[in-house]
Amino acid sequence: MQELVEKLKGMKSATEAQYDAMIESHAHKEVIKNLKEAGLEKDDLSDEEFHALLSEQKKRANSFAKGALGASGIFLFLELLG
Amino acid sequence: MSKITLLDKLLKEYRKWTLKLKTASQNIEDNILQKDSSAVLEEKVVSIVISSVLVYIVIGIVGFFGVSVGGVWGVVVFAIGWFLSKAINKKVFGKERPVESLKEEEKLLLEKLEQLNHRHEEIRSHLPAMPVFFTNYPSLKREFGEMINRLLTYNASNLALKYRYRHAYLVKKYQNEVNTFHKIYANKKESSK
Repeated sequence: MQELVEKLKGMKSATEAQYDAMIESHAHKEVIKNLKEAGLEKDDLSDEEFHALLSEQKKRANSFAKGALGASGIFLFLELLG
Repeated sequence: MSKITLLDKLLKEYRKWTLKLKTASQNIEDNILQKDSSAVLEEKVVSIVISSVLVYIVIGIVGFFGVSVGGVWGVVVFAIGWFLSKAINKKVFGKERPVESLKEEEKLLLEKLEQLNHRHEEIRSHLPAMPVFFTNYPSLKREFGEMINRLLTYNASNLALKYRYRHAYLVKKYQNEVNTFHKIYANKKESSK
């Protein structure tokens, strides 16, 4: 998760959509990694099941990233704008 | 469905379920530790709203008596509102709780949650090499029974309001995962719960 925060901090002039895309990509990688650890592949899950896991992971990553970056004001600024 | 096909299906379901159990446990742990990082943002928004509302109320009341205030007084009232909102935020959102600051019963609860996760990850990791011992089911069932009991009797008054109300919801989700476990591990049908 720290790796994600560092990447987001490096994206100084990025748009909110670019931040979201980075968080989504990180969450996707995490879900695939967890599936692999459980001895599963993406194809073993239905679309609905995969999206439920992805959504949960994205929620966690989003919450963590907002907290970590909130202090530096980046996300607060974006949230107030949007 | 042949028995082998059924067993393969149940084993795959069990692997998927271990991921869901881990998520449910992590959510409960994060809630007890008041670890929702997005609260930082929510707190700031609430502070701005409370301060702004206070400014409007005070200016409105004073204006009712025919006195016009603004400028510096508006800033002073906003600052008072900001200060008051800090106290409200502390009660509603709280602060992240380090593990060392938890009560013994809370530490034990988190430890048991982790142990239960680990137990099922162990079973999962040995699945290809070892057969599933259905004779283990009564002890696994008992462990989940004890865990649900611990979670239901947990004294949530230790938590800030936001996390206190969320605890009941997260325990319900955990209970749903335990019910799924019974369906998979003992191949129980909905009606035989």
